[in-house]
Amino acid sequence: MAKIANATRRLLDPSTIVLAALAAALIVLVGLPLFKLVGLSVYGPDGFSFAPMVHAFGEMRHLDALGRSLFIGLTVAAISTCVGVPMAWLVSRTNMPGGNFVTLIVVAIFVMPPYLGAVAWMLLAGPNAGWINRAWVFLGGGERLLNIYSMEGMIFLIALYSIPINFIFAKSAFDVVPTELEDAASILGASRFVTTLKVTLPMIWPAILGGAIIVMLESITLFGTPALLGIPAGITVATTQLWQFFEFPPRLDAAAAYSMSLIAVTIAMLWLQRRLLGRRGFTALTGKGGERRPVDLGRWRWISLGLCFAVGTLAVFMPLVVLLQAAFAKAWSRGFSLSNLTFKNFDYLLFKNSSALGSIWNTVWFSGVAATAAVAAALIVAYVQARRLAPGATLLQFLCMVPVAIPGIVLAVAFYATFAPPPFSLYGTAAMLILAFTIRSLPIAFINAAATVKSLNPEMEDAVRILGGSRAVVMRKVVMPLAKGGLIGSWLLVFIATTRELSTAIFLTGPKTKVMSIVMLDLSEEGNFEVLAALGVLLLAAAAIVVLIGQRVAGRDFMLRRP
Amino acid sequence: MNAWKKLVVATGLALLGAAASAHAQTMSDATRKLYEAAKAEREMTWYISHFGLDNATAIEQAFYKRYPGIKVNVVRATAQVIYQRLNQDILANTAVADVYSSTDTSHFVRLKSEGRLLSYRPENADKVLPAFRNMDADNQYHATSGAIIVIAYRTDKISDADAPKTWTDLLDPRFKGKLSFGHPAYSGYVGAWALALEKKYGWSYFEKLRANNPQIGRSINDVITMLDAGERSVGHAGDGPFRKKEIEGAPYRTVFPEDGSVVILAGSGILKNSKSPNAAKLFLDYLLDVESQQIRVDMDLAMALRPEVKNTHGGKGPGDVTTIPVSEEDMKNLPALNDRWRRTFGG
Repeated sequence: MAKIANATRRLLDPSTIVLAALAAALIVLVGLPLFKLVGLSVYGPDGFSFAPMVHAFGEMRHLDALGRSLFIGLTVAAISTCVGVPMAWLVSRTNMPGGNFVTLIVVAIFVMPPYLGAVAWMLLAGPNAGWINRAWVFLGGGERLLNIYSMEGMIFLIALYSIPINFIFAKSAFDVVPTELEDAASILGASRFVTTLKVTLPMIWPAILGGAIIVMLESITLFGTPALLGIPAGITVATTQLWQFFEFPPRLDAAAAYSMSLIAVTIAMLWLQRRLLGRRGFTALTGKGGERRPVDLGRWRWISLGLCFAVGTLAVFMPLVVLLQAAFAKAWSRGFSLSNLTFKNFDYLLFKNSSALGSIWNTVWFSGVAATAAVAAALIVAYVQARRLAPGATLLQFLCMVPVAIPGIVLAVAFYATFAPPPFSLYGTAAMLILAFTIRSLPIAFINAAATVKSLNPEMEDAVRILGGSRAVVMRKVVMPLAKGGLIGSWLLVFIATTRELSTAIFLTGPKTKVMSIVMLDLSEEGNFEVLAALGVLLLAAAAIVVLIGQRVAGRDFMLRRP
Repeated sequence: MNAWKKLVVATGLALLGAAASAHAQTMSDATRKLYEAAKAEREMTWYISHFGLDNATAIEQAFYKRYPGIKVNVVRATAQVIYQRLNQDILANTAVADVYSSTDTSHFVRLKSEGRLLSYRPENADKVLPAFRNMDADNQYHATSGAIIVIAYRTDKISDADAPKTWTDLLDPRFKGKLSFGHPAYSGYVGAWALALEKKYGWSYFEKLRANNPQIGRSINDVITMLDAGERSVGHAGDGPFRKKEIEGAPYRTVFPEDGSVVILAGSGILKNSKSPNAAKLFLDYLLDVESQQIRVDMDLAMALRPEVKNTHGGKGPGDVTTIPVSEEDMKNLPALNDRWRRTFGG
């Protein structure tokens, strides 16, 4: 009797209900579209069929595109990790001046959508007219210096705009590495350098690896940059190849089959991550570390700052100059002059174009809701998995991580096929986009949440439980306060990533649910560069405002840690 | 912002009321009946690829002025993308688009054969210039826009002596690294252009073009972006947008090639499953109205379909230039051409 009462009480515990609801939602939102996708890839009109797979992988061209994507992913991850992690270390652990400013630069890089950066870089490094090349020729450098329409150009750009992911992952880990172990190493006679290499880096290894893997998978599934730079260069990658399957006659089945390979890549990467991290615990990272003494760089301080500044120049300042020039130009080809100055592009956007203003508003509120949902869901799943509270947590983790392998376009199509027709009938509604954005951002949110939960010491939670507090109380009183900084950082990360989302939105925006990235793509297709730049400037301004508010609200818990 | 919005809406409504009452007297009985029925439907959705977003928006706003109470939702993309969208809707079994406008005529041929289009002849169909009449014998789609694809170049980079006069001139080594084109697998206009040139010169034309290392974008308007940037200096383009830039002061010139421009009629049709059939009929009629045609000419220097339109910038009609004809039948070969294109140019 008591047993039954106990079981009932456990079942009716609010946390159990929340968990069940979440599991159901994830299964419907991730599992169902995925199931549809798998179904499409192995079924023909008359039952089981190899045709989709044959069509998808039967051509060398298609395999080449996949290989190119993998190559880009690996190279980009290597480059951006080699830049992002040292930058995070400089800001977090050394006496380099202007650390807060460098963090701001990184946030600015993150706010800049990659396709907007790509458009700006077309002007900076176009083989003939790019400003850099013109300057080079002018200075007597002979032949052109850079050609952005190339494999190298694509890798450079994608890596440039991926740096923030590595940086944020690494910095949040650097910030909570306790000094005790480092001090121990110093006392035993290790130099600063050796300490960093042998103690600090291994401690933040999971964060570095997590960042690198996310960057790799994100690069593979990027659509905007390869479309803008790759099509002119005649270079097809996996996502632009996928797009081709949708051309008339649309081969949805082949596209589904083709995207299976990307899902396989993700599973392989996740498996690799688990293998590399093994079963080692990293709970030495506690919520509140002790005092941190910065490393003295001596005269390298300014050189380091200069290097960080150079990254910012490439990713933010130069593109921003080009975009601002175009946004206020009548015809931006005429360069800088007062006679070329105009406000007509903004006037058009704000007062003459019915979709621009609406799209700004849509972008902000869709992204806000999606970020909140993704962060909440990811935290619960990460927590349940870390504390082994429920069976099947690994499945939930898998569901959270899978979307990273589904290119936005494919996710959108799978979503469309699943949720547009009855019984869901979500087509053209805000819910369609918000749900898709939420699913798209789950991986980033989850990796972040997992890192945050890993840094929590379970003993405090156990204490609450022993004293009779429920799981909900633990969440409210222990987990949330300790994880607050990480969660707000993660929310901003997801929010900004979503404001830039292009590939998912392509198929899901209805006439009333346009977002800014789509309006920008339309404008880029139309060669309407002045208005595109103006809208880009508005998007950057809106995102900057959100970041500033975030910093106000989150105070020093947000990505900056004031000494 | 809200106060602004209210103010704008209020003034707009006041103006609209005045305009509407003035217009109400000139409406034909059939149109008035349509309008009354359409008011109950309140809104409709327009899938459009043959005007730019700014143009489509201007037409939507003018339509609202003429017929207060009926909102048109504009969904704009390149032809093949918007067609993908429509196919998505069909797959998902949802009726989203009411009026479909595309630059690729083969879409209409296909939609018609699938029985997805409504037969309807708007009042204005008899008032357009003869060249634009009776695009489809069964009135399932009508020409609502026309474009002439020409050669455009930058006068500050190409001297008058070097200027191209024919499509074959572009094969000359003097244009190596200077050419820019759109992509037939994205843009309906580029598709028609490529089919026309293949018809006239065979595929070898493109093989030779490849040697000049052209830059390939997506939309035909990507060429504008490239020429604006000074990245390239010669390309193909719809006649209107380029001359507009010329008038705005950019260093451009358009050339009607001696071996023939490519003239494209872009059509519009009403979908059979439309939830707002009356609004759709009213809107299709409006696309052929003098007012909307005037907007097209003023904004994009487009080809005017109606003789009454004031042609302020000397836009050309299809009868004014030599053309390489492209038929609906030809357009059916587009998927195969796209494959050839990718083999030749990559991407």
